[in-house]
Amino acid sequence: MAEIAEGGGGGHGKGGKKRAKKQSTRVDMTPMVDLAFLLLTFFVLTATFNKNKAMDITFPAPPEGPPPPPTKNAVTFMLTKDDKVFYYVDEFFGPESKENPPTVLTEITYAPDGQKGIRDLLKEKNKKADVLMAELEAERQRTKMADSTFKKRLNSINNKSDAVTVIIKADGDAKYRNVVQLIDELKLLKISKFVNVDMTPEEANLLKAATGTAPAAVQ
Amino acid sequence: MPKIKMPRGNPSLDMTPMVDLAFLLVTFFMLTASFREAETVTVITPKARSVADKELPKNAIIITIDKTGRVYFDAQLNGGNGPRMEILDSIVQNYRIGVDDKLRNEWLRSGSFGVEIAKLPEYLSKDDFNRKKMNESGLGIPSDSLHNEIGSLALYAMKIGMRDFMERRQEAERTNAPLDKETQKKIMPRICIKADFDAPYAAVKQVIKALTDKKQYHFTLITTMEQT
Repeated sequence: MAEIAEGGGGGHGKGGKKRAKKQSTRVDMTPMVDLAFLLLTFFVLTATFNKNKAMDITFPAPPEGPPPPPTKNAVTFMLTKDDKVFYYVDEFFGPESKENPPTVLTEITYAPDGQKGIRDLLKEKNKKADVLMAELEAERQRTKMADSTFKKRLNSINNKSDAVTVIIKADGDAKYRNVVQLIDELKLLKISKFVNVDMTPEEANLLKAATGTAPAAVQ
Repeated sequence: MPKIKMPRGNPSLDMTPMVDLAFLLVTFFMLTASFREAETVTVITPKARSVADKELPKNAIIITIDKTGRVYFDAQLNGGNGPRMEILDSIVQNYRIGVDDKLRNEWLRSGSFGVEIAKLPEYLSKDDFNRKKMNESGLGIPSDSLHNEIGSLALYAMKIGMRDFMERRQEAERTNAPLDKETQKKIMPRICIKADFDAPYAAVKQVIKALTDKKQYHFTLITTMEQT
């Protein structure tokens, strides 16, 4: 280890005489080096890389006329402010509806598996399609299926009516990240049938009752 | 031979070269660090887990939406300045704005902009600081159905991008080296939507409607990685 040069040692031992000690002007550089390497290490370790990723999405062409009624297995998610998510299954029945019980909105969260969150709900609804997709995947590994065949068969599984259709409705207070989070969840669960439509006034009213405030108007 | 006793001196090491070394290293890393180009508007995109680390598309038409809902447009197409100038030509032709050569050069290096097309010449004539002020004092590029400027911009860029893509594909087929699907996907022009995670979804939805009105249905949403 480098030692501190004692320049003043020569002046010692001259008795009590006051004499200007000749001090050496050598500066020890060791702490400077420590500092430089510390800074370097700090920046190397804390530099975070801005990992931008791309999520492909294809929005469906707008429907020609009024939107078709949902198929048998449908879940509608309603996104609103404060990251809240409500949902109902299958068709919507207004409060005045006579033949069918009126729809009730249930709040739901992005809880992990087993905690009755969105993932559990969708897995439940998409059970049959999930089984078929798992079988297809196993077959692909076994027989080394071509990619195009795999994609075609995957599409046909998803287009059968018992794969769940997810309808996303966001009101004026919902944030972009809410929708991205939901679409992200759908992609993780390999649900490809989803549409993004406007809320009907009845649904907006129901949402207002559920959250306690009027949702902002959607353009 | 008698043992030679080495006089025990006090060893000391001169540290000055070490400091030189340290600063040389710092300088090296500083110079070799590549900087992103200064963004017109900084947007923090939401996190997503469903996509593996996929690099950003190269041939990209980037529509940025900041957290107040302002819409910006940028086009970084393959071929650099040529296609970018053609986009300006389309804008001039369809919106009848006046741009002289100086403003044309400015357009080539201006990155993304967020003002109505009518104000584009004024925007290009300003410096970076005033451009930022202009962006922030306005409402972004209009995306409503009466003034679907963002849709038009995206359409011009897409047309030019697709034309170049087709040319490249045909060229590859002519020279008997047809491009495989992977490469095709990489070099195809794509519309990317880069919105802030706090952006009101209504603004994003309006942009998407503006794009689907011009028959563009495939988008790429730019997100950041989230640790699972």
